[in-house]
Amino acid sequence: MPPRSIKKILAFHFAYITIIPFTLLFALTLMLVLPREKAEVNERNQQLAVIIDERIESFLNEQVFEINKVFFIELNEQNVQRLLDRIVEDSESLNALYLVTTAGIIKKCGFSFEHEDALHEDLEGVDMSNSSAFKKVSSQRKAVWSDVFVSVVTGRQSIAYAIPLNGSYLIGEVSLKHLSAYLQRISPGDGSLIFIADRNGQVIAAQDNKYSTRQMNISNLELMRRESAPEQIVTGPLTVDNKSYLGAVTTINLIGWRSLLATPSETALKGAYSSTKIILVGLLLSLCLAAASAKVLLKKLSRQFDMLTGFTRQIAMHSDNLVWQSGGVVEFDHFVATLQQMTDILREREGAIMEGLDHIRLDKVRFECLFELSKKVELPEQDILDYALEAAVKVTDSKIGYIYSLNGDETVLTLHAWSKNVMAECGVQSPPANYPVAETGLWGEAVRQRRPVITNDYAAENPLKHGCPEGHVEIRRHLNLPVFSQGKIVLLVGVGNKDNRYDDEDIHQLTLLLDAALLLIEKKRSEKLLKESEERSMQMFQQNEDALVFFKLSSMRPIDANPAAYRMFGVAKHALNRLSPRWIFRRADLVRLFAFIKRGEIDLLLEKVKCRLPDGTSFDAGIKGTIISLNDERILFCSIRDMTAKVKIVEEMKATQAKLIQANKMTSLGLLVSSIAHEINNPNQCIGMNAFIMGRVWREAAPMLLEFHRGDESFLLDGVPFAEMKQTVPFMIDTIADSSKKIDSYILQLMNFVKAGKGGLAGDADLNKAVENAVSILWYHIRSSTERFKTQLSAKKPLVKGDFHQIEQIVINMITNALQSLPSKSAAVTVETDISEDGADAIIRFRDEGKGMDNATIARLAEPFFSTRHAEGGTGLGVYISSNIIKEHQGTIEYDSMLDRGTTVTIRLPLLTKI
Amino acid sequence: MIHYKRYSVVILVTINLFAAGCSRKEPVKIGFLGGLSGRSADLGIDGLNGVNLAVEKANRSGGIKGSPIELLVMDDEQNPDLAVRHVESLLKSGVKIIIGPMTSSIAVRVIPLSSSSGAVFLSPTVTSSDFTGKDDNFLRVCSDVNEYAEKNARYLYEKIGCRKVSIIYDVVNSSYSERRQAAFRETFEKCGGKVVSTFRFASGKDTVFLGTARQMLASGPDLVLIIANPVDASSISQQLRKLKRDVVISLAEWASSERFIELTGSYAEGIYVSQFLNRNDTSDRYLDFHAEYKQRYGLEPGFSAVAGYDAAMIAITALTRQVAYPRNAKETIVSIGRFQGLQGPIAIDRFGDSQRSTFLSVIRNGKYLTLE
Repeated sequence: MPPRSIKKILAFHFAYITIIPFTLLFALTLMLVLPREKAEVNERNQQLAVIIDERIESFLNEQVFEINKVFFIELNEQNVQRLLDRIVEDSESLNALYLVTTAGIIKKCGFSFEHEDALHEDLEGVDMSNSSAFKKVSSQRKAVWSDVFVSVVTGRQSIAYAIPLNGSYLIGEVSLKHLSAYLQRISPGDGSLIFIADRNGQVIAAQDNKYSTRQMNISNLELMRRESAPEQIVTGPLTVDNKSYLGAVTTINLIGWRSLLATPSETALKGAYSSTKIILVGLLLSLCLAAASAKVLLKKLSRQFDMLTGFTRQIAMHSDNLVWQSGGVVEFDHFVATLQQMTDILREREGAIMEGLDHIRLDKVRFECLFELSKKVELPEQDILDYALEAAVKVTDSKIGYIYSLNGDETVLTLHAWSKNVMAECGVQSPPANYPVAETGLWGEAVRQRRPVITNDYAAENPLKHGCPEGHVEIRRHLNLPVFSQGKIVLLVGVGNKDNRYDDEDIHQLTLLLDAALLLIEKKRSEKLLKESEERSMQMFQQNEDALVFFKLSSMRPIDANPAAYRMFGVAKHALNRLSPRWIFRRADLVRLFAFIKRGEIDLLLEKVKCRLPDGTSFDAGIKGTIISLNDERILFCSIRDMTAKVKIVEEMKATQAKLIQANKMTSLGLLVSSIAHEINNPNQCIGMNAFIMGRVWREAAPMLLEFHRGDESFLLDGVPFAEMKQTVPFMIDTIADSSKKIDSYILQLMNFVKAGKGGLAGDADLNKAVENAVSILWYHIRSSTERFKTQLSAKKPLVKGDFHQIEQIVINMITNALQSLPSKSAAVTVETDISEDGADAIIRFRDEGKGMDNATIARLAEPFFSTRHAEGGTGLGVYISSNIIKEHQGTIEYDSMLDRGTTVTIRLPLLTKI
Repeated sequence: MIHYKRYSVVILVTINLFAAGCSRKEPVKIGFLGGLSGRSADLGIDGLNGVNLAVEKANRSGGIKGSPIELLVMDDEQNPDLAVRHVESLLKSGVKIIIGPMTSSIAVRVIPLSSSSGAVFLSPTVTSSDFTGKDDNFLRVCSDVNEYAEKNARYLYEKIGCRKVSIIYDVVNSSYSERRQAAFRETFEKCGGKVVSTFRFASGKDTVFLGTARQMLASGPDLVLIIANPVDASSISQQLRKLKRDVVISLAEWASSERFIELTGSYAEGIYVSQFLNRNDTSDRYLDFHAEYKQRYGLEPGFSAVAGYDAAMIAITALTRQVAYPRNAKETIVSIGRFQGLQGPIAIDRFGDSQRSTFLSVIRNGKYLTLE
């Protein structure tokens, strides 16, 4: 709403306070006074209606009296016509009298002389059995009033009164015209209308005969339709010929007809209208008086407000000499006095507010500087400090500023920058960049005292001042302070030449600013370190040979993996889901994994996990894991290592270990054999030597003995005749010598066997020889195990490249295994050597008729320490070592075995020279 | 500022309260012209009763697009001069449709008055063929008199076997009665019958009919045709039956009111009556109307009540249509053309003439019994 003048506002208000009561009074008059008046009018109408009803009843009774005259005269055939005519003629209201038979046929009819006489003949014999009057009187057999009766004489509507009369009925037709005239007489004469309606509501008469037919049926009136009890007096408004009336409908008890008294509304409510008019005139007068009074008041108030406006204008113009001319209104004088006091207070407060505003401005600048500084995070450190310096000058309202950095032991100040103003004004030629703290003047105190130093009067004498160099910017005020980082001063910042004095607020702001700058710089450094660290981590992640996979702990879905993971599991990069634990782990390992998670442990270590590959194969792996939090999500970080190589190494280590054990054993055995050989060799050589000597002695002694016994060869030596001993003793001595030689030979072979690896793989070995040696070594075992041992050696010398003793060891192992598998001595063992058909390989085949092996056993034969004979002292190393030797010699070994049928082991070794 | 608004609201509300009391929509006026007194009063009263029911029904449903219907009723008392004055008064008050008049004699005088005003007469009962095929402002909801006469004559000749007819008719309503007797005569003679005598009388002036009845019977008819209002028809019938109880009497549709039976008593039995009201109608629409009428007026609805109701409904339909498509009343009614009456469809042609079913009934046990 636009602003309005006080004059208008007051005018409106006066209008409201005069019009509203006026309107309310008017409304109250309409709503309360008029209805009450109407109610009173209705009541009056009802009373009037009742009176009118009584009058109508009186009229009807008069008609009944007229008709009943027939009872006072004697009727006969001759005089009846004349008498009926006479009665009608004498009556003012009777139209006709009908003497009717019980069948409803008119016997005689009397009417006034205005009708043709011929009508008598016409009407005699007429059937009026359907007329309402006849029907009622014949059915009730007592005097009755009809409803609307259609005149047989005139055909017009009328009413009739019927009475039983000496076996006939007499029907008296009453003129409605007369009834209407009667109504006219009893009408109140104020424009009111009186209607008479029959029991069906049909209007049969009205007081001026005008409305008798036009209004036709009072059932059509709204006031009749809205009442549920028509026998009661019904009142309400109605319209006749576009004119409003207040109506009262009553029932005429005598005949059950209705009478309607309609009083014009204007007449009925005349009193009410008059009252309303008087009230309205009174109200209008009041309104005029109020308006006049309001106008005078308005004028006075308006003048006072104008003066007040002038006074306030003086205040607004900051006039020092405020003038108020009293208009004689106390309230206004008081108001002006208060206004003057208020103005003085406001002027005082204005100064304070201006000062406050200055602070606010400075705060705004400080906030903006801090905010801007926070956005400099992308700039180099140098630029951040430059900005911080300029901001420091701004937030302290200074003119100049500088920043020095300190070395680690806080002894040397190095100039970082002077503010731009200084750079423009400074005239010092080649100022030094570094200042030892100990040599600085007043401006170094902040470092030495490790606290801010304010010098608001720089010109004043101060022993700490060392003086400025020539051309230095003039300094009037100065504030500098140290900036700490982790307890050490890292910066010295100073500002100067503020217009006002420096105070603690400046220190506070400067500290905040520089701390923020330092924080930003340190944050920047930290971020750089963090970024580098992240890059390193990423490199480690990318380049790690172990598969690294991140699983979401809630769903165990992989969310990231390194290239090694995709390689290890043979999965394309887009198929990350294929790295789900459900895909890559067996059920048993999954159970172990979930058990770990369920236990709520942070670090996971699972070994010997079988990981599945898309092609259906699997490999051994070890899993290390840890649960970390990433964006509020618990993540399982897993490192999966392919342990296949490790297992291989372990196996190789086991093999090496086995070989070492074997080598150790062999070394020990060698030593033992050497020792035994040495121990046996000496006595054996003694035996051999002695046998040789004894032989030569016997050969020389025998002739002597024979000669001694003169040639008699029958003397006994040790109970045996010399003749026999002569033959036997040389044989015995030769046997001793041969045995000694054999012992020597065995010892030599043993010594050779234990000297393993001397030739190495570079040497050559004859398979036939290896077989022979082995058989020789194992001869005792062979004989004790089987009676059917056989060797079939190749005619061609199967010479292979390699270590003879290692090959010999293979043969010994294989023959030993074959012998150990035999169920009885009758079972055979055959060792064959051969050359392959292509002439490239030498073949050595061991057949036995032993217990045989199933496929599972065959599959595990190459495993170290696998043995079916651990109970009998089997080491499980024989076949394993043999297999390794064969592998080293680039040969192959095949097993063909059937349970309880025997086994054939075929070893192929490359020939030294292809045949 | 808020205070001003508040005061303004108070004042506005107060003003609106008064304004609301004064802002009722202007009523739409419909005129009614009929004889509500005199010897033909039952025709007019019944018609008016029917009109009243239709208007009340429309007002209960919101009037014409929210405007109430006001019925201005005029009683012509069968007096043409008075009817002219009433019509002028109705036209002055802005009435566009006048339901009426009820008789041809009045129609002849008042129809010319409507030509300048654009208002139309929509008569429930005027059947005279004088108005047939004329492009005037007179419309009606009943068929032409010829249809009644033809059906009447043909039935009596063919079904009852009447060959000689004596005709008596009222010359006061000659516009109708002359046409009616001529049309009857034409058809009756065409069928092979013969008019043995013809009598005229003036309603109201001639009230004694015994002599006339004797003359009629003397001409040797086997059928008497009475073309008169119910009161006169009753008087004539009574005299005829007094003289010859079994004389075959036929009434023109003008007399086919309940009053005729009431006035004629047992002499009414066996009299053949033409009318356009099927009193045996069992349609819901008619039965509802019948029940409402009887409940309101305590009487059986006569043919003019049905015709009055139909005429009023047509008038209301036309005035409702006029709100959307403003043009004069006749054009509106003719453009609609076909209306649903209480007892079947009513087709109004461009001359304002109507086509609707006509019936022939006989009085049995004090009631009309529809024959065909």
